[in-house]
Amino acid sequence: MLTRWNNLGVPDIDRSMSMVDELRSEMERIFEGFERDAGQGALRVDMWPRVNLYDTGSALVVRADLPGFVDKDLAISVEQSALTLTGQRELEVPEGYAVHRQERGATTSFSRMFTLPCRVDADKAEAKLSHGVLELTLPKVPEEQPRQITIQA
Amino acid sequence: MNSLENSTDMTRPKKEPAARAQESFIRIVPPVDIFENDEELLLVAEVPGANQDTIGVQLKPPHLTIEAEQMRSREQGASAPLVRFERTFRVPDGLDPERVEAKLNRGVLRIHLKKSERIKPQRIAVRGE
Repeated sequence: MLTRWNNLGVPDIDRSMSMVDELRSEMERIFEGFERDAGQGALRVDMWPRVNLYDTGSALVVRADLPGFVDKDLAISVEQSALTLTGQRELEVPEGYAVHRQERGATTSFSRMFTLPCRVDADKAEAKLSHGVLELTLPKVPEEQPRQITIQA
Repeated sequence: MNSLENSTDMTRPKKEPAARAQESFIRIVPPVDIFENDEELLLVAEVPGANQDTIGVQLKPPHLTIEAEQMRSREQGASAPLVRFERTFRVPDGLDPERVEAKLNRGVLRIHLKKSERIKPQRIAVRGE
């Protein structure tokens, strides 16, 4: 009986939950960014900056959104399989202007640490910063590179 | 749902290519600083990785809409969701829609909204007796 309830009930709950989600995202779409502070729907400060990790097979690529940052604002280090990204920037109020709203100030410094899914060769790492996005390429150590396996006849 | 969306959702672009409507995207509300002096309102928005060609700034009083899309990298591939920055503000009267200037540098968008002559503070000469 319990199993049957699960089998039949759960999908229904899932469906209604997804409807709630849909409604919520619809509401968020309508009200997002409209005359209000960066709150719900905005990036959370503790999750800032937005970072994505890609696996190209031979390397891991980390992309972080770091608008306004310059090279010297950032520090990147790899130790074993731990990647640490830290940054600090100065935000200035333009001279002679009154301040109405300052949301960018919430993210002047950050430190984020990630566990990489495999071992990388940090000596061969490359980092570049363009259009406010950091792209870090971490080649995998040879043992971690994908191997083609031939099927024997 | 659709008609409601079309009539009230100010943050969506007016003309959306049909192909794009189906595409999945991540919507980001960019943090914005707003400054003012006698000449202008200055909005500073963070749109990291934004492609200059996709940036749209529209001043249609009383609303200012900022839109931008992030460039996709090689690793992401074409199926990755598109990252879109969108935000709409209600702005005060008296800004000149003809004189809006936007500059993009290091993923930071600076929008200068010039005040029209009539709302600029006027210096009133005080005559001595």
